[in-house]
Amino acid sequence: MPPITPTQPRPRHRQTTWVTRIAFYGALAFFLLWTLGPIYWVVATSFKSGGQLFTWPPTYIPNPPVLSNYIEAFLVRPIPVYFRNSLIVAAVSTPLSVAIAALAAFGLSRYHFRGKNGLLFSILPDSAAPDRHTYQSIFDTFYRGFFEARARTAIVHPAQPFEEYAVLVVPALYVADEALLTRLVAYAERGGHLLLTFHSGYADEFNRVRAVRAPSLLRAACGISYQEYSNLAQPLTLKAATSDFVIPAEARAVSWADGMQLEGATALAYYEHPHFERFPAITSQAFGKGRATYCGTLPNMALAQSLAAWVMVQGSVPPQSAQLPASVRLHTACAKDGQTLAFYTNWSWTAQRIEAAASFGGHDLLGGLPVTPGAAIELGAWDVKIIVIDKADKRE
Amino acid sequence: MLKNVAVAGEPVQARTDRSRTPRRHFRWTPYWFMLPALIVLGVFIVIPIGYAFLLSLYRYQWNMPNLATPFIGLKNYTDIFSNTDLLNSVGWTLAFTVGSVSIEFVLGFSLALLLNARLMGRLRGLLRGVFLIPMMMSGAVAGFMWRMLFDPEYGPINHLLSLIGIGLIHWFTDGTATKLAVMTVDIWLAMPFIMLVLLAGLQGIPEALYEAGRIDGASSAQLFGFITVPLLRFPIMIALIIRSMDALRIFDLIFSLTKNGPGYATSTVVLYTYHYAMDYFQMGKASAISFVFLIIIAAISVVYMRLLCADETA
Repeated sequence: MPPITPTQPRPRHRQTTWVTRIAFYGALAFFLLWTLGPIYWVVATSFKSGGQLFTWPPTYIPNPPVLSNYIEAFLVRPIPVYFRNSLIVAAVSTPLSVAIAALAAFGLSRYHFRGKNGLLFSILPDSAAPDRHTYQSIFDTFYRGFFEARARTAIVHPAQPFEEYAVLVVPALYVADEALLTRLVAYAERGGHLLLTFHSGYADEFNRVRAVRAPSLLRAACGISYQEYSNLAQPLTLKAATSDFVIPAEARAVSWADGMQLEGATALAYYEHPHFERFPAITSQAFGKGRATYCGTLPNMALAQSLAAWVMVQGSVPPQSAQLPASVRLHTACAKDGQTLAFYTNWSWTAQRIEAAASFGGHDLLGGLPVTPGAAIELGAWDVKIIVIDKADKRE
Repeated sequence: MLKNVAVAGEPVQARTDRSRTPRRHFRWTPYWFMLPALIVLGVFIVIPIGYAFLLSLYRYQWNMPNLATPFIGLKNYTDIFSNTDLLNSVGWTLAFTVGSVSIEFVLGFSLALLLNARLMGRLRGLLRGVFLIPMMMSGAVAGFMWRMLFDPEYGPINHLLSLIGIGLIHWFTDGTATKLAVMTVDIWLAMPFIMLVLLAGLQGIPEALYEAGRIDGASSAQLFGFITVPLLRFPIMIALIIRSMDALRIFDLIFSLTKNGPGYATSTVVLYTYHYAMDYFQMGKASAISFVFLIIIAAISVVYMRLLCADETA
């Protein structure tokens, strides 16, 4: 068998016949004449003396050519003044309009505000600018879902240890290196509940799409894979696929659907749609000692909250005490010096009065006053109280 | 050990309390950025339009300041429908738009295909520049230029036509001939734009598609119909939309070439409005006409925008 050489003959173009050539150059000549003919006439006329202007047949070539028209225009008539005026108009109006338009463009592209679309329409047709709030909208949806489900949350950076949390939510992790994905899988395997969102780990750290079936390294842990995906023109309703996953009436899948195929995972919910109904919207699979849940769509708030509640039940994470008002959250953290700090935060305009948890005794870090277990704590609007818990009282 | 729920992701820095409120609170910042543009828009667009609407409700003969300007309600508007000159100019505006845009399109598309042809080789860059020359010219200048060319007695066009046996054509006094002249100049002026848009589109079509088509045995016509045209749909729409909006609003070219004439034969709606305002001095009536025209143009623009946006998301 002859070896395949790298220098294969190039695909041969079909022979150009002389008919094609004549047609080609004929058409080209027509267009050139059509475009340049009138221009030539103007240029030729500019070199004609007065007598040559009105002849029959018309004078095609100025004979003799004269410069008197140019002399007249530039020396007698105020043509230079007109040029200067044009320059002044251009020099003033260009920077001015760029400055004004740049300000408006910045405001329009960077902010969401009331009346934006109306304004945009009146200033310029809609540009195809990317949505700069994509990441926030995905992140906020999940954060808020867990907040409403009364979870106690912390935001961790991949560089921080997240291995000891009961539940790890990973929203919009499109770009991720192999090490991080491996670590996430190991987290689930060792007993954590990992919640991933659509297109997790789809691209590597250089934003190159991974050349294996998605979700690549997460595939075994999640028990799903997908080759198709779609954006959703309309929010879709869902139907539950297991009895323990509650889907509120307002729940919707919006914007995106990964066309997941089950490879061992259990579907929690399916889309209600003639085409997308074949794909599960959310799946979950027990993996190692833990569990990996994959949300293939962007949930709306009702769905995010319901998903958060389900995930917390699976991960045995109790919601915060029902004694806390809906807008107040309690977080605890360990300071560098070993002290335990409790943060009471009031995320609302309404002042709140709460009771210090029975297990806490300590003092107010900022106010300095002692706080006894069960004492009343006043929280103003958007207020935070930090309580340093006495070592002796530290429990839990 | 604290059992917490963690939300992993990029560190979110300096989140203000506000961003976590259930309801977004009103922010002034974006409006400040918008303010200069809004002032410019307001002063140069909104206020004049509003003033034009007010004027359209009055009988206002502006060259006679001593004449009363009575409020006549919508009479200026109802007059529009009995004004045959105006209705004729609407018809001519539409005929001009459809006629010249379609011919421009065919010629511009042909030229783009010609420039994109393999035979063009290294000449392409140079010739593209040459064919763009008319685009750099303003409509008014082109109008004056072609007036010399179309001059019935001394112009080269009639001379060249006489060489092939066509007798004297009265380019500026015969209605039909004048209309043809106007369309010719518009085609000359705007064809490069269509060529430019479509050529850019053509050069974006990967050669591999044609190769694949040829391997499958497609004829040239099939390559054109099933590859070129579908992939050019967006540039074609852009070119047609921009050109027809321009053609509907045409003013400077006709003003310098024929100034409505002969009679109102080449008077478009915009020219007719100008004529009413500047020759008859009837500012109220002119305002009413321009206001109706504005609404029609705005409606067409909205339809076009929708079409374009739908196309982008499809």
